Amino acid sequence: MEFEIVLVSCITAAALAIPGVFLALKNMCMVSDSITHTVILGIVLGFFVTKDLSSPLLIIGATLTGLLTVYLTESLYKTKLVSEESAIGVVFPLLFSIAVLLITLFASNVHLDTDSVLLGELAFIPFDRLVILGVDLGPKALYFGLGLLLINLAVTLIFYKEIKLSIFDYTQCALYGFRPWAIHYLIMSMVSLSAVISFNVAGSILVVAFLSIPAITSYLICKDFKQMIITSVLVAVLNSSLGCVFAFALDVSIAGSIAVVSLLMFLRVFLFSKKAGLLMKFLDKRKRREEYLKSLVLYYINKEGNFQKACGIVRDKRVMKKLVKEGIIKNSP
Amino acid sequence: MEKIAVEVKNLVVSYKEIPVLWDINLKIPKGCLFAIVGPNGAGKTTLLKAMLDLIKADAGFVNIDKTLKVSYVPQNSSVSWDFPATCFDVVLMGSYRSLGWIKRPGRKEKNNAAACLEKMGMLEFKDRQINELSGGQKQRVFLARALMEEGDIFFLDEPFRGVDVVTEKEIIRLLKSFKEEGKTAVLVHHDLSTLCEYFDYMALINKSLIAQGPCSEVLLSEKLTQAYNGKISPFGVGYANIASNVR
Amino acid sequence: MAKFHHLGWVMQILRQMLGDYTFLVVTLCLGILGATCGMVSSFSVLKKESLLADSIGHASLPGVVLAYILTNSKKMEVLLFGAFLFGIISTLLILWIVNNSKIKHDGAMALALSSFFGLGMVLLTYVQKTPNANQAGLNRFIFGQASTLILDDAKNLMIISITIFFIILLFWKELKLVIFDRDFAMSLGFRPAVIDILFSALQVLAIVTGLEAVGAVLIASLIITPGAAARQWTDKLSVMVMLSCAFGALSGIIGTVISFLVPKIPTGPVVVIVLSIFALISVLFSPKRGVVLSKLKRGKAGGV
Repeated sequence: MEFEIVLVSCITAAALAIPGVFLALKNMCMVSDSITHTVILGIVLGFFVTKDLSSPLLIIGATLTGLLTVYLTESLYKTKLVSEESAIGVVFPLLFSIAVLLITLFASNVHLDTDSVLLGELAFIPFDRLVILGVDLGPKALYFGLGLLLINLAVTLIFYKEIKLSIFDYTQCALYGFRPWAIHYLIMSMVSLSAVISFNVAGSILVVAFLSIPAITSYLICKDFKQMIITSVLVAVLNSSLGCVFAFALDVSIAGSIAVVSLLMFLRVFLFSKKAGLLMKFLDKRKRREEYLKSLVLYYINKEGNFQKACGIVRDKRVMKKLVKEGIIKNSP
Repeated sequence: MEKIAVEVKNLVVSYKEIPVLWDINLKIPKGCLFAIVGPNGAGKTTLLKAMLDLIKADAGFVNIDKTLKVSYVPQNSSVSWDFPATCFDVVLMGSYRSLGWIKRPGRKEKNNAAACLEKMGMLEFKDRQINELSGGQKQRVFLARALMEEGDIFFLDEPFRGVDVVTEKEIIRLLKSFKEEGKTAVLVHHDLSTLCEYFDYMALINKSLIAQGPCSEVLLSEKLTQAYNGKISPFGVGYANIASNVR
Repeated sequence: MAKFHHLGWVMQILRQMLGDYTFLVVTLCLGILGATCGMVSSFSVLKKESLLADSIGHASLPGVVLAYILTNSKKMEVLLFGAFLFGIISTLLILWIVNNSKIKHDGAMALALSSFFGLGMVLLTYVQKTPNANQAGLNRFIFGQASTLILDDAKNLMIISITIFFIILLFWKELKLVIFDRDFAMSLGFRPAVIDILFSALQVLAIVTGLEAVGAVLIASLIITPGAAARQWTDKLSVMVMLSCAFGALSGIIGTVISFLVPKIPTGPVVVIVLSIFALISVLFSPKRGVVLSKLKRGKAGGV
């Protein structure tokens, strides 16, 4: 059973990491937060139409609501009356509130409470199984996750060139006749669909972690688009498996544990990676600064012909002292 | 000898451990119009900011005559244009230095702000939101804000960018009238053709100081081509063109 | 005759409301909360970092749970102090990441929001297993539960609200200057970083006090929407702040009244919807900038 949970969370995380990269590169990470909240409205509305919580129509309805959110946010922003950030922050709480109201007013007797939608729980996954003709084929969530992964992979492979161009240079993309807005909405549909399918695995807020954290982690170390996609899928799988292990050991929320592990992984890369880590950057900067100040001091010693005078001119006394201590300056003319 | 308003000595400024200004030595005389000139990326704005101690230098020092009050007109890029501020509000901000923390502008400052707007011919626009103005009008408002500071020495960073010719002439006329009062103005400028018409002194920089002195002397020397790496084309602001202007 | 009957019904409802002690307290609380958030909202929106509120709201959850774990007390002051600390930590984390890497503001916010919330979930599930812990008291910070507010909450809200009000009033000039033109502020000898820190603290304070009533998910709306709506009506900062206070307070009060009249309805979402209606009206119909009027104007100009 534990193996099933790890498998499902890894597959879901890998599927989400792909559109996450596009969002991160478009500087739209917070849109994921917006979409994950508003797809709930789509699910509620879909439920009113179909009266069935397991209907596939719900998935379509919810995905469309995600797109509607993006559309409304962009329309509001395009009026130039509010900033992009404010537009996001005005639209999604509204749609989410409407969803909550509809649930409490009309659907309180069904199993559709905001708690489970928002928080989700991986631990329940093995109980909802796909049984065909009496044969147990494993948890349903596994197939949803696999399907999502396949769709996201397929879209990415088919439209790889177009997506890359539209993110890198929107105008150029339009000039080549690719309709960048269509690609934009394609990406948003991927995000939306991913949010819908995975929120009962992770809960809508932690879907944000699945979408954005692997992407920004790999963004720190990758220079190439393809490399970034692959890295963030790998990071996502690693985060999920480690997160599950910790959650089992401590018996706490699995999705939450994955999010925490994701943060730690990000901080590890952010601070200690050899390529882009803050520590390396700091050491490197200090070294370069010393080199630079040394050349500066030497320049002024040459110019003024006097060590004392040069010391008076260069401001960084700490480095000066260090240089004198190491005998670098005294030896020079 | 003339009195010195600003003295820059051995100034070195770096960005990410790469020097952008190298060993600059400058003297700006009191009561003149002084231009800082150089090609794109030469460090003109950096020099201005380093003079005001807004950027930390690695070496050297800047001495601004302690008796002089400084006022600064930055490039407008840091302004949040959609902010709900009228022209009057913006000009009133010029009094904030003398007010210091917490104290609020009173009647005196408000009257003063109106007077400064009037001086720049902008009083009728006093209740307009700042973004509803044209480039030239905006610049006039920012100049009025500098007037509010009642400075003795003005630092202006490319005040003519995106400004119409009439406003440009007006600003220069105002700065020249300051000169009569013994005030000093230091401008970052990039239009070589108007240099001699507008300014008394100039410094030509490209990372390091190439030349300084009265405009006519600097422009006629070989130094100009050196600063621009010989890239001044015969078209546009050509060297010959400038030389003839000087004569 | 029918009219009279109608009036009688209204009177009866009114009498019911005024006689309902809980209702009055909740209305008072949400009114104050709306006004406080509205005041902060103007500045957040102008600083263009209003979504930070969303991030902080979510990220303060582990603070609440941790405060409970460490002190084993359910006193509101203690829990909210934990939330305040984590709000500050998440703000600093976001700034630190943005200043030291190529990651943009949005990525850093999403990171802090989701991972801190995840930490909150981990801690919450941990608490649920400990004996004698009734976790219901902590869960409400996610969705908010206005109906449980008591008079003590109203007092606390009042104190915080007045504090925020006076600090903003005291540093009005500096806030205005730094948000409007950072470089110029620096050249005048003011330190923008000091103002930034001060304002961040105020913003976190406002968010944290709203957690109990509207919850982590919807608090962002109270910090973003009133300011965005108020901006449409005026070009004067003082008027904008007053309007946004008014929008906040009114939606708090109207929201509570509606949720009193319609049974079962949660207060937080209603407040957000009322607030959004204010914003919608502002964006569409404000006399100077509104979409409808500028369309009409353009139509006329085109016709001639």
